[in-house]
Amino acid sequence: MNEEHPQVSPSLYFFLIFTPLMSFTLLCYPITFAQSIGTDSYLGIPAALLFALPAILLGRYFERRFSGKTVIEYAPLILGKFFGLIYNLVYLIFLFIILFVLFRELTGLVNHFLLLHTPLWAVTILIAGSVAYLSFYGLSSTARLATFLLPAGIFIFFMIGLGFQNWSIQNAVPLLKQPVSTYLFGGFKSLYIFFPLILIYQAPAFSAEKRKNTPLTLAALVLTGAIYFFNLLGIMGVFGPENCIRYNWPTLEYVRTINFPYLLLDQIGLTLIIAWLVLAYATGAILTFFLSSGISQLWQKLSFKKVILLLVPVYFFSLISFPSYDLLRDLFGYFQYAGLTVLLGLPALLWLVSLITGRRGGSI
Amino acid sequence: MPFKKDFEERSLPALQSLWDLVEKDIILNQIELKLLYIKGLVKGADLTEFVLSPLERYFQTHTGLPQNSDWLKLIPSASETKVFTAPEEATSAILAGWSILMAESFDFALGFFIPDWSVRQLTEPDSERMVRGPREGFTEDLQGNIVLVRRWIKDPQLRVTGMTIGLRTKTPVVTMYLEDLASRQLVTEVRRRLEAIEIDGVLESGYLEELITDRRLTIFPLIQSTERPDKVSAALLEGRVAILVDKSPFALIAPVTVNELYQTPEDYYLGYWLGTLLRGIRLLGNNLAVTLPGLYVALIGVNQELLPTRLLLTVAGLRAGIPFPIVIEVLLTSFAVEIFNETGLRLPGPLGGSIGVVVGVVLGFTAVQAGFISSPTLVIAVSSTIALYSGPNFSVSIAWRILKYFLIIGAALFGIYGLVIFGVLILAHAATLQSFGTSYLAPWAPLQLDALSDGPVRKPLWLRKKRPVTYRPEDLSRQGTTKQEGRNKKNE
Amino acid sequence: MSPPKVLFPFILAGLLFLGGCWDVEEVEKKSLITAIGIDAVLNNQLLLTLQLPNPGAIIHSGSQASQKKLFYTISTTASTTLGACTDLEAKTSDTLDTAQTKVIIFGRKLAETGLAPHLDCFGRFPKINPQAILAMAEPDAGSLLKMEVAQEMLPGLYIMDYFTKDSKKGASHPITLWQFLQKMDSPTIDPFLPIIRYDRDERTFNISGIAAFRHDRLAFTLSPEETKLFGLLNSGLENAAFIFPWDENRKIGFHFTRSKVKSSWEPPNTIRLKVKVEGYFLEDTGNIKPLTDKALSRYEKMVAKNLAQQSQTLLQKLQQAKTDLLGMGKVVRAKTPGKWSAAWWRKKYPQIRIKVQFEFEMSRSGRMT
Repeated sequence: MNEEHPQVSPSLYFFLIFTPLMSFTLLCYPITFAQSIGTDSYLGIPAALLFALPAILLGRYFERRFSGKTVIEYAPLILGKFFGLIYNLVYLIFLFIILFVLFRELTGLVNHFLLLHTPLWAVTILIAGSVAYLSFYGLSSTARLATFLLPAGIFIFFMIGLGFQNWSIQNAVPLLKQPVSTYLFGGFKSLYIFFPLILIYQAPAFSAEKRKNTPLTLAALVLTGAIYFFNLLGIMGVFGPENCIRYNWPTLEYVRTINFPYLLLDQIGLTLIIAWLVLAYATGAILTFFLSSGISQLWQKLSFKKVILLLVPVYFFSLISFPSYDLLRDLFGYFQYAGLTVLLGLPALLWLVSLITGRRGGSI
Repeated sequence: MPFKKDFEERSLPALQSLWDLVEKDIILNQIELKLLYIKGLVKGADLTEFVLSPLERYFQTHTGLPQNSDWLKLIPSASETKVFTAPEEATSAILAGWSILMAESFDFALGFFIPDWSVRQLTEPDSERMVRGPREGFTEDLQGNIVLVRRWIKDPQLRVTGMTIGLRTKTPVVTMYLEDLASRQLVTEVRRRLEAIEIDGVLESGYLEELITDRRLTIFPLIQSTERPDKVSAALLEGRVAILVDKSPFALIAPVTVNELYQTPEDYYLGYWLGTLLRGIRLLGNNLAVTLPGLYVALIGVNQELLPTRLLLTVAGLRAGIPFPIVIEVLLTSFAVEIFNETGLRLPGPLGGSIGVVVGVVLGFTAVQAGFISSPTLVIAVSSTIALYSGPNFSVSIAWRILKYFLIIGAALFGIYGLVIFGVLILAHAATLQSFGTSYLAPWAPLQLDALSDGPVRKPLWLRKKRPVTYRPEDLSRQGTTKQEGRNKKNE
Repeated sequence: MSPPKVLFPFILAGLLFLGGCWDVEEVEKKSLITAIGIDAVLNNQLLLTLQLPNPGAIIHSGSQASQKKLFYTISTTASTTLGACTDLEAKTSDTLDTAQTKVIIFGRKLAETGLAPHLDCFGRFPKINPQAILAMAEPDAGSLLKMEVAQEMLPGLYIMDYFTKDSKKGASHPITLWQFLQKMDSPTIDPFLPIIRYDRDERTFNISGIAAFRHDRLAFTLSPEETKLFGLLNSGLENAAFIFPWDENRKIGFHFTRSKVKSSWEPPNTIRLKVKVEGYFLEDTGNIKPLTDKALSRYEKMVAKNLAQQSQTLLQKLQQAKTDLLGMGKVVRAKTPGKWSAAWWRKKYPQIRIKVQFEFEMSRSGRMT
């Protein structure tokens, strides 16, 4: 296999899916859950998992039918050249927006907590440049880094566990006293936490052992769900929904409530930013790779390396020209629903069309 | 054409310009013989005793020349003999320490290898000392080095294949591996890379290391070098390939992973508890050495909120009145420590120690007293330098020594954020590296749980049933049926 | 040249251009604010007082240089907290830095007018440590922060140390910024602040009693005795001594080590608190006879009864002041999910009946029989 289409081993594939899922909205997702559900909002996570399952099934269907092909390759086979192109453009724009949100979140966080006076462009150029450096070396290197950063993920999990020192059950009850539809709707609304799952339309083509793809994706999803559940349970027990929505990054604030007077570091909670930064870096590199590889598949003339070189200025300038973090929050509200269409709606459409048109064009 | 005439025409004139060439014309029983060798490379007494005396004895009883094949039987005492047919080959052999004997009418020449150069005694390698374990290290003698490894592994599967690299130095290079263990691909790849080298001279195995490395721009060592034969033997048993170079006490081992660079054979000689502790200390020491100065700059210069109030107030009090910004101060102090470090290495033995004390105590103390630098900075710079040497591999220590400054710059520009991003950049770079097809970060990435269990933790030998999959050995099983503790205690 | 090699110099060159180091400022060039005091003054103005340490003096304290003062304070009046902070920048050559602020003290008057508007700045500013300790000063915070303590240490650190000592938590009841905000935001519980005073004669702080809030306004202050009782009821108590009168001349003292509270909602209108207290017998001013098991159980019953009575009184006071300090709202909300709302609870709280039952278990009786 050439470097444009590297094959990664199952363990690397797992981290390709898991790292983006875990880090994408880890710090801020509790807000929407707390707003739409309330004290037992952690029950919304299983609901969201339920809604994410169809995406996995759709991904599995396409993977079986078009083995070794990414969505960029099979969408035109199903929809025809023109509509396939449109479909892929929507897909890639969605990927770009996920990347954009991630970077804006990261730079916003850095500017809030670590570097208050450093201008945004300086923070952005550092992260954008270094992410590009890694994704440049292709998928295997990126996946290897994501795997190597597993300790950061374990650290985050550990910190979430420590946060339970201030936990009180009474903040997190009453349990299940609302109509089931509330939980389902809350989970559905907050499905954005699993947006990086969109990679299942692209990543399986790069896996060396195709048979393990679906179980691994499912494992990554469930593990992420478990961490999100555990975290939200902690946040509800410590803050309660009313206090949780006061903060922009409830997970961070939650971890900052940990108090260990005997450690050398004073505000131990701030180390969560570091651990998250590291994961977000890997996520950025993974998404950058898939985005550029997708674009290079669309325009055969460009190699993915050239695409990355072109992409870096694009997201650098779009990031620094984006006025404020709060506008992002507002716009993200709309993106939440638009993203659902791309994650579930459009693939479902693709599936229907491919069912109707039968085997034509399939399994080449 | 007879060899002697050909030789005298084509090769002798160039050789005769050599000051240390010995050219002896001997007439025995009316047969003209010519003996050529380089003074100093050949043991003269042995040559007389084992080559010339038997010849003399032969001619006392025989007339006429012996048959071709009988020549060598004549001289059974000479350890290594060879027949040369091309004058060029004979010339190279003379330069490599052979003595050449030729006769008028023959179309070949005889070579005897009776070397006489001094070989350093076996001593404990300075760069890799250990408390428990063999005290032998490689020397500059290739033959002796091969013997050292052979003494460990007496398996007929041990392959020793040689080649000569260097157009002018003609350095013998040997690759060693276990035929039924080492991955075929690896062996061919090593050989391919070695054969591709065209260079005028190889002075040390470091030349080869640089020439056959996977990525030339990287700062990390992608090939392990060691002076210890037991380390080489252990590597061979894991299915890796060793490259030995003449005149170099450092053997090369490929492939290598970062993990491997923090292990010593001693971990396996001492108990596994102690081995685990030592590995932990090494990792901790190395991480501290690399990150401590950067962290200090970030915490004192930018992100003060992470330090406890009392500590911060103490540092602030000690730093009051220091004329330099923190980065400059740390850089200056670190450079000073580096310079003293280098000086200490080069200074003649007894002087080194006393100068070290003078520099360390007097200069450091005075600089702090005078208010040029603050005492916490001195503590950080010195402890970072010391901690760097906790790792057993010198080349990786040097890599980290340079990267330390990279992190300081990151921290100076962006505080903790810069430190983290620059740190991840180093990791990202390491993630892109491969050593002969093996991921440099293995067994961490890709995750190989079985191999990882013998990484940061030293796995007990009775649990170490398999070879690490990292190096893709042909045979994974390491232990057969070693009896478990307690299983054979039934008789008691 | 392959693209990655092109890219890397670009990043490095970019970094060199960056060289701005916008956030780099060494610690000695900053004034680390160790404590902040806020008071209400006339015309709706605030008086903001900052306590700034003098690191040079702290390092050499004890030696010849100890004549230097350990800290200094600066203060100004403005209409908001942030406004005052910006004004104060003019009063010092160093940069003011809140990263190490460990203590925030409010004056009593300000507490009476409501803290929410002033806490917003602290909650919002990322550099403030959410673990900063809050307290209410009597009579005002500004003058308190100017005082020196006899222990020759930074008053800000003194207060911080006092509140972070585990052995004192039974009486000190520390509350951090995030905890206060959490309690303030939550409709099921009301926040409190420990009260701090300065003792001029002894040159030390006197921290005793707590101020109970209704949402963000001071509603009621608890005496030191009541505070200890509150500790028992709040199950956060560690180490507190109680003295009970046996008769006119004889007093018995106990040291309580643990308390466990179980609260349950009994519809329509009752909350039952079952408190289990553990502790040991430490003082008896009148006893000379050997202790028998019977006597001990009599003591236990007396203590339980006495504590129940006192608690009942305290809880009634809190109900009258309409401050749900113990978080009864949580208990009720868990059981009445449909009916419960913040407004409903505000109305309901003063009317419910709270029944307290105490159970005391004596684990030790000291060295004497």
